[in-house]
Amino acid sequence: MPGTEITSPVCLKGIQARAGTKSIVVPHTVLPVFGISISFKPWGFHEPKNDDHPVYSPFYLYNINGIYKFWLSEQIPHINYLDMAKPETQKPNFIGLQANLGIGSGDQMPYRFLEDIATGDAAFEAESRTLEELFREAAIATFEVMVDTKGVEPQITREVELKNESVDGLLFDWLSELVYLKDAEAVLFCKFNVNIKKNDSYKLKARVSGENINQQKHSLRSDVKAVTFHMFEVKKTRENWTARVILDI
Amino acid sequence: MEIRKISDYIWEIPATAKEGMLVPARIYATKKLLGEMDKGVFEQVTNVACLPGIQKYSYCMPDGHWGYGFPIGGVAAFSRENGVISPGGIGFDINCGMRLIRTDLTLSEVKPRIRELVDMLFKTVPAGVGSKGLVKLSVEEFKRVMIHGVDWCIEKGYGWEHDKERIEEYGCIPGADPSKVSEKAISRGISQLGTLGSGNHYLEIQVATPNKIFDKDVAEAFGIFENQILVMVHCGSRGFGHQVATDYLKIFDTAMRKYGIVVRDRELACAPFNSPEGQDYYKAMACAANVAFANRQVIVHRVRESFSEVFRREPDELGMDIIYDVAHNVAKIETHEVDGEEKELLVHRKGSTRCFGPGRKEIPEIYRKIGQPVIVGGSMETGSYLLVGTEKAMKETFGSTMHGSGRTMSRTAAKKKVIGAELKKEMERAGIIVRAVSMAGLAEEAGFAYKDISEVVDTMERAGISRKVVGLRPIGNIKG
Repeated sequence: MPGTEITSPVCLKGIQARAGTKSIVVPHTVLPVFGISISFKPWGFHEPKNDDHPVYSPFYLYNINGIYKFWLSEQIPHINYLDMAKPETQKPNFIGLQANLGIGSGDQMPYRFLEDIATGDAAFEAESRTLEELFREAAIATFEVMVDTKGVEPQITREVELKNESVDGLLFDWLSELVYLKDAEAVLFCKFNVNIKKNDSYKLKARVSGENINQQKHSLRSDVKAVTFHMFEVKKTRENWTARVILDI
Repeated sequence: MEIRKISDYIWEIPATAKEGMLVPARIYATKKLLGEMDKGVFEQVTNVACLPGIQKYSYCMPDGHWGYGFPIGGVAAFSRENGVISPGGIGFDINCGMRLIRTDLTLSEVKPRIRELVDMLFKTVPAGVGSKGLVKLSVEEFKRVMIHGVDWCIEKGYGWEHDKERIEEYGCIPGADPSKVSEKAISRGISQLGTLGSGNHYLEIQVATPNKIFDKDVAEAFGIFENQILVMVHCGSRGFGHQVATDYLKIFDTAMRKYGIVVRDRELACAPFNSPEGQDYYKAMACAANVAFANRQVIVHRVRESFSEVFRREPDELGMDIIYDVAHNVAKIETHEVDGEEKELLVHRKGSTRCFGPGRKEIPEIYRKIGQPVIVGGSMETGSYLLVGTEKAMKETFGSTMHGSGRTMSRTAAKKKVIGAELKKEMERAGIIVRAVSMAGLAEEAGFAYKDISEVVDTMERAGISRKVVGLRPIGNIKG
C-alpha cells in the first residue's frame, strides 16, 4: 500500500524526486504547514485536458521514524488543488491533507475502503506504524462509514478498557465496543486516544470523544450493525501493523 | 466445482465435490442467474453442506450472494436431535423481515397527498444511524417485549387484537428467555423500538397496478384490489438483535472446539442444537425475533396514525389491516417430511422467506386453504412482490423461497456512480417521493446496484415454489 510509482518528475517545493521513485524522503525542515501542490501524471488517473489544467492527486504524507513518505490514493478520481502555505511556517509533525478522505493532522496513517470485497457491506484496510495508531485508524474508518466525522465535535468522552489474549481479538472487541456505544448511547465518536500494553495478554485503555447523534447537524451515512469475522485480519509486517475489517451494514 | 443441471431451475453440486459434504447443495436459479452468482455462493453453500445433522440439501435461492458463513439466500435444515444451530445461518439482523399493510385507499386518493404523507411518516417513524424510538421502556418492560413480542404491543395499545394472526408465528416465537441475552444487548436496543434502521431498510407506499395482479382470486382473498394503496415495511431487530448475534458469534467461536466441530469458515461457527450454548442461543434468538416483530408492529401503529392524520379517518375505517408479516433471517423448529418420515427440524433461513403451502397449520385460518402470503422486496426503484406458498415448496425446499433481489454492486461503487440528491430528483421524476436521512445511504440503494427482482421471482414461479399474486409499484419511500 505505501508508495505509488511516480511516472514524471515531482517538484515538491524544492525537493525533486525522479520518476520511478516509490517514495520521497522529505526532511522536515522544508515541509510546509498546510498542503503541498504537485503536478505529475499519477498512475490510474485521468489525463489532464491541457497543460493549463493539471490534475492533482490527493495524497497522504506520513511519518515513519522521522522520515516523511507520501502515498497516492487511487480512490478519488477528481481532486482539489491545494493551496500552498508559506514554507517558513514549518512544523516537525506530519500534515494531513485532502479533508474529504477523513484525514486530519497528527501522526496518522491512512485507511482505505475496499470496493471489490463486500457488496452489501463496508470493507476497509488500515495500516499504521504502531498498534495504537492502527486501532485509532480502524475506529475512524468505522465511524466514517456512518458519518462524516469532520462534522462531529469531541464534546462527550467515554473511557474504554478491554483485555484480550490476541491482538486480532482485541481489535474485534474494540470496534465492536464502539459500535455498541453508538447505539446504546446514541453517540458518534470522532477522536480516539488509545493506549495498548502487552503482558500475558493485551490490555487496551482508551478515551473516545464524540457527540450525540444529530440528524440535522451530522452528515449521516449507513448504520453499522456489527463487526464480522469475515476476512478479519491483523498483521505485523516489517515496519507496520495492518488490519482488514468487514463491517455488516 | 462440478455443477449438475437437475432442471432449468435447479442446479446441484454433488456431495463428492468437497471433502466433508454430508449432502449435496442445490441452487435454485436460471442459467443466467447462476452464471452471475459470485464464487462465494458456491464456496459457502458447500461449506454449509458439511455441517452436522444437515438434512436433504444445502440450498441457495436465486437471489443468492455471499454472506457471513451461510450465503444470503441460504436455507439449511438440521435434525433436532443431532443437528447444529449456527448464528451465521440467521444473520446479524435477527428477524429482519417484511410486513405488508393494506388500505382501502386508491392511487387517485393518495397521489395528491403523497408528499404530505411521506413527510408525516418521516416524522413518526424514526430512521437512520442510532435513531431513537418514541416508545420509552424500562428494562423489565423490554424483557416482556422479548417474551411476548406482538402480544406486548397489543396489550399496550400498539395495534389490534387480530393483528397477530396475520404475522408469522403469530408475532411471538415461543421459548424466548431474556436471561440468555447480555446486558449489553439490552442497553443497545432498549431505546430503538419503533425505528426503521438504515441501509436497505425502508418504509414504502406502494400501489397494486391492475396489469400486475397475476392471480385475481388469491389477490382478493389477501385483500388486494386494483389501484389499491399498500404500505410495506422492511426492518429487523435493530441494535438489540445485532448485539445478540455478535455476542453469540463470539461464544460459538470458542465453543466449537469443545464439540470437536471444525468449520472452514469462522463465520460458520455453530454448536449442537442440544448443547447448552445451542439452547441458550436459540432462546436469545427468539428474544431478538420477538423484538423485531414488536418493532414492525410499533411502526405499523405509527403508519396507521399517520394515514389517519392525513386522511382524517380512523385507521380501521381506512381498512388498514396487516396482510402478512414474514421473517427472512431466522431459525425455526418445523415439521417436514424427510425420506417418507415426519421429522422435527431446525430450519435456518438467511435472506430467505418461509413459503408454506395450503393446509399447513402454521398459516392463519383466513389463509390456510390458499397458502401463506410471501412478501419479497425489490430495490426502491423497481418495486416488490406479494407471492403465495405452494405444496411443491413443502416437498422441495422445506417451504422456503427467496427474500429479495440481492445486490450486484458494492455500496462504495454505487456511491461513485450517483449522487444521492440527484437520485432523489430522478426518482421524483419517475413518480416516487423519497425522504431519506442519509443522501449517501440513498445513493448506495440505487436500483442499478441490485439484481432484477422479476427474474428472481419468475425463477421460483417456474420452479413451482412460490407463485406471483401481485407486483407492487412504489410511489413513496422513507429511508434511514
